[in-house]
Amino acid sequence: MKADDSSVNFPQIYSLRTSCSTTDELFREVGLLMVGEEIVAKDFVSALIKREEQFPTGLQLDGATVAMPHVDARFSLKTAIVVAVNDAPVDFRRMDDPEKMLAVRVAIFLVINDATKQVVFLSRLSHMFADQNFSRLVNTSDDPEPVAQYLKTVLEEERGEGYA
Amino acid sequence: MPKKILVPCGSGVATSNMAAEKLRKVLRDRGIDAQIQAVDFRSLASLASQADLIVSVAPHGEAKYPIRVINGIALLTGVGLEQCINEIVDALH
Repeated sequence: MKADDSSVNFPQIYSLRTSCSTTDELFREVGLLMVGEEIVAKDFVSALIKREEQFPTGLQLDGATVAMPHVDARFSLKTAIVVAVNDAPVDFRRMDDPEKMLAVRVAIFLVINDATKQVVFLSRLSHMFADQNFSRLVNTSDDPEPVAQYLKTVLEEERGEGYA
Repeated sequence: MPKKILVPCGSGVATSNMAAEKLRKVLRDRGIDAQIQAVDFRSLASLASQADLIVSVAPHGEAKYPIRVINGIALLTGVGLEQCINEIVDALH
């Protein structure tokens, strides 16, 4: 897993390519790497799987699909975003309509530990999701690196304004 | 008195803050003064009676509260955002 630089409230951005055949497998593979990198606590993986069942995170964007799996802040050891691009799409249920399934290749794992300080970067994420360039990138990238770079650029547009 | 809007999610942290911050920005751009609070689903029961509107990105039993609920997923995805904002603005009036 490739890592980028970080500061206290600015998320460290990681990226990796996976070849999992199910969502659970993806969560286990990415989750264990996140535990290994000391981004999250040891019991993160089971919490993540349980949380996704209860509150699914698949998002239908304009022309692309993504998911943003995450858990409660108490599992976070630092602020980070992990971009995983899987070889083939796996099933995620839609956040706004859990009865519906989405085929998702790009999962953006969010690790937040203090939303009051990180609200600026959270708002940049929704800005990015609404951007057609991001959708294009999601649809054309087999490599997670361009997605991670784009994410970093978007987040840094407001760096210094909200990151105390 | 500014209207009070609750934006719930599972933990009241990531998703609700993403949506709440976006809503703050678009309402500010339209010159609308509203108090927007990101909350977790458990807190809804005690807060709903003092609020004017729930903007929800994920269905989780909000319909049982006596205030109006609007689907706010567009705040995260950008799909149908204009219509979503119009609906919220209308509901505040």
